[in-house]
Amino acid sequence: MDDQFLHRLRRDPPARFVIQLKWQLDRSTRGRTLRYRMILALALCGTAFALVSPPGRQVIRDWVAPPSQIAPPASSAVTPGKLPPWGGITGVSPARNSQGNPGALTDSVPAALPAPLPVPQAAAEAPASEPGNAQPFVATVMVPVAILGSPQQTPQMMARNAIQVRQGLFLTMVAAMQPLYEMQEHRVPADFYAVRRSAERLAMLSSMIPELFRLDTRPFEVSTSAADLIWIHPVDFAQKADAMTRSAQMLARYAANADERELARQIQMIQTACSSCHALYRSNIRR
Amino acid sequence: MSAEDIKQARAQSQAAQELDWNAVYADQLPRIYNYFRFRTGPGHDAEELTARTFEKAWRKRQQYRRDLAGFSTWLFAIARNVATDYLRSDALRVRAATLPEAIDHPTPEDEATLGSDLQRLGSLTSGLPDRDKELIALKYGAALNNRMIAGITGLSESNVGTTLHRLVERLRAQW
Repeated sequence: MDDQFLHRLRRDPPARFVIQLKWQLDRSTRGRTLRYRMILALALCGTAFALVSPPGRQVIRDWVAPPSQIAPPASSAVTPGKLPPWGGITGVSPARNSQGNPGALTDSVPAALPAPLPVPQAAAEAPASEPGNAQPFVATVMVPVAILGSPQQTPQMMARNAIQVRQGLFLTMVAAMQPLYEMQEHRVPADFYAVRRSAERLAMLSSMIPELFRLDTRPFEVSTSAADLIWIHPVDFAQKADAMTRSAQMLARYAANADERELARQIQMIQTACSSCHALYRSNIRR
Repeated sequence: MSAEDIKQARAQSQAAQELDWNAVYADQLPRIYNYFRFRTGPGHDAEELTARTFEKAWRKRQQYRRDLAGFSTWLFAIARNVATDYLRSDALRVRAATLPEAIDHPTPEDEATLGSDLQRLGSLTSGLPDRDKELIALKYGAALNNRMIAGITGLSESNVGTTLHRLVERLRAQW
């Protein structure tokens, strides 16, 4: 049956429509999720404030200990700093190695976690030994954590923000590469610690590239050097980013082992990974 | 609530959770969009109706029962309802408006407007029963096979094939 004259009437939906509809559907989900999180956050806030308020703590003491043992001297109050750290992370200061230099930053706080929040002013100023001055730790940490995302952005705003984040990522990668360039050109003496730090940073940053380019910004009026091929060949683009990550990880390993012979070669491989990706996926014309 | 009811509810919820919404969106959106293009003609109505279909599907996703129908069938059932509601309200608007007298001699502007192929299809199928228009939209707009169309419309597969063959022959002669 010759019906090609009907089949050829099909068209792809406009890209802008596809993206906007997806955004609306995701937003409706986020809106619902946001409401649940708001409710959860409010419930946690209420519980936290109830727990740390003097009457609340008195109730807890009454539950925990017999009435005859309850004696609220000032010295027995909960002191800040004794609370368990959030998420079990003991701090952001990297350990020092035997030479007194900061050790591996792989033990530091993962980049995905938010930074610890400042202590509320009232709790910070009050003497730690007085009762009723324990930080509302749960409330100050859990409220911002529970409320995530901003569903108010339009697709155009999201596209602009995505591009700003991408450009920020690449600028940060350039900053991380700078010590390697300087050592390669013998402008600074070789420093295994600095090489390892730069390499670990590059590995982490380059691993974020495919995720940050998931949003197709081609339909939007934005200024970007991202070539259209990124979204035409996303698998190859991701593989090139992965090649960069692996090269950076290898460099970190060689630096950790103080293998000077391999350092130059691995730095060159990182530069090659950058160039090969740019050749295909970075447009010379900034649209 | 019996144990059987609980088991069914769990299976329902699991079916909805197992669905990869991103994959569904990427696969079904062009089909739904072109289905509406074939039903309503070129213009922004197809986009609006496609958006309505997906919003309804997303709100009703917990009601999707994998054991009863494939996802396409379920989604197109929603799309057909959306199309029916739209065409019914559109028909009401046309009847309510003051219709101009029939144009015996189309102007060059009218001919240019009618020039696009999709509009041409619309004019050729305007006199057909709604069922026939539906079959054309499902076959050539949504690019579904006869078996899927039969599942959606409730017709037999052979009936779908025979009807489409007749329609295509007629349209090709008039094209």
